[in-house]
Amino acid sequence: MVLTGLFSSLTKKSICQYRENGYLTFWITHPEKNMNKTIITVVGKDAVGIIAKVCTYLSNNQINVEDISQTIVQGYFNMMMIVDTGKSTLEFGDMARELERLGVETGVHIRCQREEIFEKMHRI
Amino acid sequence: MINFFEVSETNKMIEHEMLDVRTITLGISLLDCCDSDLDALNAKIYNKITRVAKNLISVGADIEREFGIPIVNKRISVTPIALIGSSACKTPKDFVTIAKTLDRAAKTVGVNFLGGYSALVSKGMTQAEENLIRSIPEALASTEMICSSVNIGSTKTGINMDAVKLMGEIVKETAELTKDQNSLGCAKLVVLCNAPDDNPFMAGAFHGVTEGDAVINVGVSGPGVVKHALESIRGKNFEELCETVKKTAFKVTRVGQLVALEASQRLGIPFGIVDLSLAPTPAVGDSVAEILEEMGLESVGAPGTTAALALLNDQVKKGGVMASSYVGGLSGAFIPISEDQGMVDAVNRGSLTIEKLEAMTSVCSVGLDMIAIPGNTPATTISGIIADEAAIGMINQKTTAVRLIPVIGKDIGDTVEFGGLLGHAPIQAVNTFSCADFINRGGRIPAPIHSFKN
Repeated sequence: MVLTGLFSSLTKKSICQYRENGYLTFWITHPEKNMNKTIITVVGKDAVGIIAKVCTYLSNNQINVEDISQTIVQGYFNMMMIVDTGKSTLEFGDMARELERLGVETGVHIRCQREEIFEKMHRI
Repeated sequence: MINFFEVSETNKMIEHEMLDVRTITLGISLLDCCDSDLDALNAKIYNKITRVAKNLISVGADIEREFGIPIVNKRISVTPIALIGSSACKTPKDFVTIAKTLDRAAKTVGVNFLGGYSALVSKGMTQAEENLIRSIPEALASTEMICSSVNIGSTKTGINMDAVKLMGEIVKETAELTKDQNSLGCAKLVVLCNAPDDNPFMAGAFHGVTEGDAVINVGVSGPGVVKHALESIRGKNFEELCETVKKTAFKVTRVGQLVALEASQRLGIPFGIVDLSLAPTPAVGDSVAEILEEMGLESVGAPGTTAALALLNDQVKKGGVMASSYVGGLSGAFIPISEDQGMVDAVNRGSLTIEKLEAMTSVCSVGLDMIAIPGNTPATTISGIIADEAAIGMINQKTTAVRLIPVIGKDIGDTVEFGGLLGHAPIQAVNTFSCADFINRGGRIPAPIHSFKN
């Protein structure tokens, strides 16, 4: 994994990491809560600069990354980002489409979903 | 904060286990459209439906995109048309014009089914209700999107056996009129006992008169998710089995609740209920039968099937009730044949008969559903099957339904293809002994003793 450019595009407060089942997971967390959170998941063959490309797109569109975790299992790249779209003027649908296209260009599957579906399913 | 594993779990359910929201059904009251002039009535109905439902499809698509959850169907249910058309429609033909208007409105707004071409005749039939029932075969043959239902009994009123007799004939006539499409009309016609006012699922959906002007009801699904969850606890005891089903049902239903509230908010229409259902589709891995088999049955229909289904149905409700603020509709596991590949396989293996299905309907949420039977089955025999199901519903204070398809020109050993979500089904054997003298008696079966609770 190449993380070049990742941290430079983030403006977040705390960065932590932990190991689970041998996989290194990075967390870039943000203490504040808001209602504009979107979960971006990236799944596919590992390649150089996946995170950088996604983060560049997000930073160009004023979308804040609040949290990232990623693993690589048998050469497959698996990433989840929690982003804040509060300052972005981009429509959700446009963001989802453009990221999907970016994914196709990079050879990975990128998916955007609003956080509530996960929040509702996993929290009482 | 949501973590990686929770996100993965949800997305795995959606991508690999076919978690979806089966339907957003917009209930629309047509009571304010009543008019004694047929043309005026038709115009009012068309205008109201196209006005209230104009954003239904786009809002559904937005929610799908934003949450990444498929919403398979967007549908409409309306006030039973026998009530709405009672002063304007003097003949069955008059009612058919309303069916065509509803069909046109459904196509304009882009929904795939519109339910409510219905009559509620659990105790008696008005002339208008009888006219509507007699118009059903032509209405279903001359429209594409319309679903029809007739409530012929309830725990409070008993069973209207005159209506039961008539519905046997209507099912046969509908089969005849749509024989070019494998009697497909019957797939859009259901006969109910204890029909709920807020059911979002077709073909039995209608907007009850106790409902408000418009309401959003949502039906969830997810047999594949439950099946997959059970795969991880093979051989464990019933306590673990039940807990697993319950927890899974909770998660599935939470998604339905979220979608229902979002749709309600965006359309500006009140949220009604979430129907806690396990609704299968013909797709592999989206089967209620496979859940029962995962519990330990060699094939659905084997001894133990009714107990397994009872357990599944109850745990789905227990998990789902806490996940939603309002629960209603049919709520429970559906056991259609043609729409569930596992059920079709069980019938083909010879393990599942109509008689076993009848027993299963006493513990689950619907009834004999999407069952293809020989085209030469007498109308009185169909009425007899309807009466049996209605009796199960009446005595057990639950909804039961019959959606039989006597496929004209086909017999046992044949298979019939309905297409799409309706799937395909082998023609199943029906008991050939006659019940004609019983059905021809006429009149009503009185309400059971335990219905007198006042």
